[in-house]
Amino acid sequence: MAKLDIEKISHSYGDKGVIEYLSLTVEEGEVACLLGPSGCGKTTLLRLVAGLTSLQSGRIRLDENVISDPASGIETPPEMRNVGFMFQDYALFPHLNVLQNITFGFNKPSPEIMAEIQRTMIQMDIVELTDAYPHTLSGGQQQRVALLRALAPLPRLLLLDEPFSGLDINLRVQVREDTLKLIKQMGVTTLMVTHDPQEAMYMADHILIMRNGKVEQGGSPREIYQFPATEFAARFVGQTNILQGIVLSAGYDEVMTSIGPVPCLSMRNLEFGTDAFISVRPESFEIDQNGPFGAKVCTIRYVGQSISLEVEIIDEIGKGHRLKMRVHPNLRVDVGEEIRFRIMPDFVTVIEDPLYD
Amino acid sequence: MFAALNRAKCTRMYVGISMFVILAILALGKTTANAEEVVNLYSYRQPFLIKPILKAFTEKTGIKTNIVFAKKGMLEKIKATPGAADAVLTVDIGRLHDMDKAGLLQPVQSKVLEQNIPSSYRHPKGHWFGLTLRGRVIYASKKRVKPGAITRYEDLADPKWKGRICTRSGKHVYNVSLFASIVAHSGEAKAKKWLMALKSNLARKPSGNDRAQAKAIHAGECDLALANTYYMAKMATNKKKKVQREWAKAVYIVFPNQKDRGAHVNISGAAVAKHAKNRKNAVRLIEYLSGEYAQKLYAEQNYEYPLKKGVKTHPLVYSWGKFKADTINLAKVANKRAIASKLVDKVDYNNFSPSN
Amino acid sequence: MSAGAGLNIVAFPRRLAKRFQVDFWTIGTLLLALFIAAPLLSVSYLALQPSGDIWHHLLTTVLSRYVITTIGLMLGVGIGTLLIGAGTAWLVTLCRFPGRRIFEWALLLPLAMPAYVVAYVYTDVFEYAGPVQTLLRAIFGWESSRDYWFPEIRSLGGAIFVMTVTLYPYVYLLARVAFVQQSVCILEVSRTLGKTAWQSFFSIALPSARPSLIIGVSLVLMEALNDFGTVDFFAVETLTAGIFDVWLNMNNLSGAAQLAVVALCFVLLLLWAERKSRSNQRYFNTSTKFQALPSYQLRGIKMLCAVSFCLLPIGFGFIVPSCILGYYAWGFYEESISRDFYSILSNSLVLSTLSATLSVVAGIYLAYAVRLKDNKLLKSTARFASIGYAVPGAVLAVGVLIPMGKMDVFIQGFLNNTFGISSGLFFSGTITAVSYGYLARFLALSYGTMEASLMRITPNMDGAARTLGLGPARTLKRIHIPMIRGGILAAAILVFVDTMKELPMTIILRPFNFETLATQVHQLATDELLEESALGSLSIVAAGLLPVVYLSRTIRDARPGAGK
Repeated sequence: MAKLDIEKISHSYGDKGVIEYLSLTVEEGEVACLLGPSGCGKTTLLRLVAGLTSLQSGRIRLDENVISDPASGIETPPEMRNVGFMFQDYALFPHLNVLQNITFGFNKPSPEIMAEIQRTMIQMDIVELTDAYPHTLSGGQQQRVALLRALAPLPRLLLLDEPFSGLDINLRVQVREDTLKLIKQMGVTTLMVTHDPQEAMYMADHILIMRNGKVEQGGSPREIYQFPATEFAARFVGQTNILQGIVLSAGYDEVMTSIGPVPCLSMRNLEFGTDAFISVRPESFEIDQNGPFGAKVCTIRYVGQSISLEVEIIDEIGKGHRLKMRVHPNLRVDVGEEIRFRIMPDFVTVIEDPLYD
Repeated sequence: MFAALNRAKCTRMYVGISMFVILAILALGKTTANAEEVVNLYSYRQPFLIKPILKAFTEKTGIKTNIVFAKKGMLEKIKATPGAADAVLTVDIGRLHDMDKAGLLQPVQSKVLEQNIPSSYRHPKGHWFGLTLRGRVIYASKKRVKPGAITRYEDLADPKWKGRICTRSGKHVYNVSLFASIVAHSGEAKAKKWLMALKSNLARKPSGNDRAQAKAIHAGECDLALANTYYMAKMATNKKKKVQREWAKAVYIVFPNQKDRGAHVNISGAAVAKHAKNRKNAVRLIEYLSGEYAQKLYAEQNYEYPLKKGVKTHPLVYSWGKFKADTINLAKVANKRAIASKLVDKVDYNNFSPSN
Repeated sequence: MSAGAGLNIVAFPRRLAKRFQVDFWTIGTLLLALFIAAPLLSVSYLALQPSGDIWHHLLTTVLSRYVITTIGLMLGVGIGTLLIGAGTAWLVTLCRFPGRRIFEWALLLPLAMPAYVVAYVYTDVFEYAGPVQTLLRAIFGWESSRDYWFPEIRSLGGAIFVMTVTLYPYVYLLARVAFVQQSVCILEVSRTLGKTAWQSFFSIALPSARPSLIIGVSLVLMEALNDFGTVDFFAVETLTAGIFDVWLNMNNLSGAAQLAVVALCFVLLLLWAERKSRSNQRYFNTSTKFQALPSYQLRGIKMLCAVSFCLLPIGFGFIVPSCILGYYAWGFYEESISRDFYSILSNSLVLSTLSATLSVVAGIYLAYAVRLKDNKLLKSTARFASIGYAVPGAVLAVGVLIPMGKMDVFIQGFLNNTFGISSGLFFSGTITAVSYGYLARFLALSYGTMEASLMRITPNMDGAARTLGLGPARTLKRIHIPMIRGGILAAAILVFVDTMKELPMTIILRPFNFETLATQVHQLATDELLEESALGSLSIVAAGLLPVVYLSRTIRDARPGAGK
């Protein structure tokens, strides 16, 4: 297992930059997840790490080995990197059967390795497919074969490109669990790419939100959710309400918005009196007869574990603001009704000025 | 396990491929390096026409002949591979002339050749020698053209033949050669006028080969055509193809310009290549080709006119009667080929269509 | 599976070896392409020599007609072969109707027919004096050609007809390989989106088979452009006819070479335009899910249409000409079977196998190197090397003679000076020269086919194999070659059959006393002995048949995973 260091890499196709001056680190044994919309350069990044696309500038290291550094002419070919890669379309070799696919990375697998593979195949419930050809497998089976093929040679680093996007939703949860279990069991350093925040949150020890070839924010799933740094990051991992206001006091942790003072957990060290934008997660609201805020219910969506409400709150100058909130499913309320609530600070954070970029 | 198996198979396959390539080259690449007496021939003439003669030559002299036949690119081949060929056989003065101009031939002094071949049909310094003669004549319909109705090439331009003449492509070497002789005799301007008039008399777009012209006359598509003498004989004596005998029956030969310069003729000939390695053998072969036996075979098998005096033509050819051949220096005609070919473009000869 | 046993890699010497291999592909490609393009370069060199006033003459007289006729021929043949080739391929691959299994291979049969032989045969049948018009005259009592109108077979239209029915199999073959290998998912997706079979053909199958179709059509166009036999016989004045006129009648080789270069620019322009229109799109299989191909059962009028649509090209391109040839051969059996018929046949077979092997090996190497390096210089070099197909064979043969002759003279001189040995001609005196010529001429067939086949493999396959520790060469061996088996065979057989038919280069480049079936046929045919040449023509066809049928079966099984 190894630690991956990506230092200030850039890549462009023609004059279209896909990755700009990007740096990131994946610690040994960690599962890191690049999260971003399609076309933001995620897959290119994985290909650069694997050596399938040659790096144009910057440096990539695995532990102490520099594997890509165009400045000093280093470009370890992919077959010498010992990196496992699982492709979005799995890229199973159609002319080889399952076992041949899985043992493809070995010249001559020793009996011990064969036994090891056999055991893992049993664990993953694909052992009876040994002689089957890829086109006869279901999507989930193909995924598991592809994963096992990438892991079989014990790579120092595992790269997963949208590993679950080819599966239907019901299957996805199960496969996700199995995959994570296997990865953790082997302790392999993993860099995964996805556009599905749920998936990223579930799998990752460390999430990197990518946008336009840059890392917008990195952190644990909790950090990303609770303290998104930008509106983009905030919206990408879930719903949120963005409000504009003025920092009341650096020590007091409140932002004065048009709907009134909102308590805020992270102030990002802003000075008293500065303009600020805050992200208020729908979970921040608590229904309370005596709460400081009052609003009219516009829509109600009951989804079992919670209720999603959209309410309108009228500010001092009579302008309406829509807020999304998620409340406990035991609440009984009707459209048009007035409710009162307060805002808990835990899921409220100051973000960067969205007009800034 | 699988991988190892695969690799072994692949290696075997690669070894197999390389073995095959090497073997094939060895098996088929009979190099010409040999101690025995040989003569290497580049021939424009089809091998099956001269194979019997070459066989007789080998039997008589013990000199083995190697031959390669081509119609295009021979000049370039001789140029690119000096020494590969000793002698060249052609069916046309044009090629001999081109090769001579390119400096690929060497002079030969031979009493035998000087004796056998009339001086007008050989190069003054012995760069090339004619072997047989053929005429480019007019085929006329027995049914629709009275004898004497046409006597000269120039008459083909007469408007009375409008829509009644067939020829093959104006760019074909036989026609270019005939047109070149007209240019040589009458000058470019007159030749152009003549060619334009000939074009306007055509019955159809110039196409097909010489036999096809006789076929067209037989079918009633046209009444006059330009063709070589020996095709007439080949059709008339065709044992298998009755239709060809009928085509031949439908036409008779008109030797043009008998009262003035004579009919346009062309020669088949031979020459010794400049870098010949077996020069002596090459000369011996050409001498043999000009000799009694070979000339007789030429006459009998291909219905050409032998150049050696005293050798009889085929009886059928003889039956057409003697004719006067144009005595103009053939090299002069050959020199005008490029002009003639351009004339064909200028009058847009091949682009004839019956409506215009 | 326990952790920690990962390979310890990136040792210094291996990295060095790796570096060398990078060069192996790049330099190897450049050298090989240069070697194959040498004849083409010699032709270009000839074109640089002064050619007198030839251009003035051409420009003021026939050049515009050459160009217009050539464009007309290419347009006609291009559209014709595309319609027939793609249409029949789609029908036999994705529809069910009676005879489909037979059509699958029978549609390839015209491949074995030399176009010039077909031209001879149809002229015989359709000309004024031929049986068809004679019969019409007898029925209607017409006297001469002025009484009625009949399409002139010796015309541009006739040439388009003959070339279309003999050349469409190139498009058919490549289209069929593409349709068969096409991931069925995308077709199904489009069907579930509510499109009919017909619509999904136009909106999905056709575009995603586009690279193959383009390559097929461009091969056809190059063949139409380089053809001399047919256009000469039909007196159709294309650029190629002009090249030979300038070369042989005006004895102006450099002028001819210049015209050939103009024709080449034609092709380059076409390829460039196609590439531009495609810009950066790449077509790979969108999925690796291979399933049984869907099939639409055709009935009634649709079935009849499908059957006749498949039957017509086979009829015109194969059945009719071979029947006529068979009829001739029957009557002229003794004349045509010569004593050395079998040695001639074996010459043809060995030469064709040799040529197919060389072209395919070179084609795979170049196409894979280009894919591997994704480098514009390499791509255009390989492309240039494979453009010799557009040059008339005889002209390219002259291009072969020049470098070969130079090498021969050099070796001869060297041996003579150092060892005092007087050797024969190493290259131009052996079949090396012919094989080299074939390689220069037919690389387009194998390179194009390989390129199209490789394009259908997603680069993720390469990625998967590479990250699993295989170098580029082993990846080629274990992934690409097995996956493009169908394409390799298709290329091999295209080259094999084309070599069987090849004439101008064989004639010029062959060693002494060397005959092939094609040269034998040509000898008789040029002496206007079509009937005597019929048996030879038929043996060319027959020798091409077996591989063609075999090829078709292989393609059917070429779907990865099929039949396992």
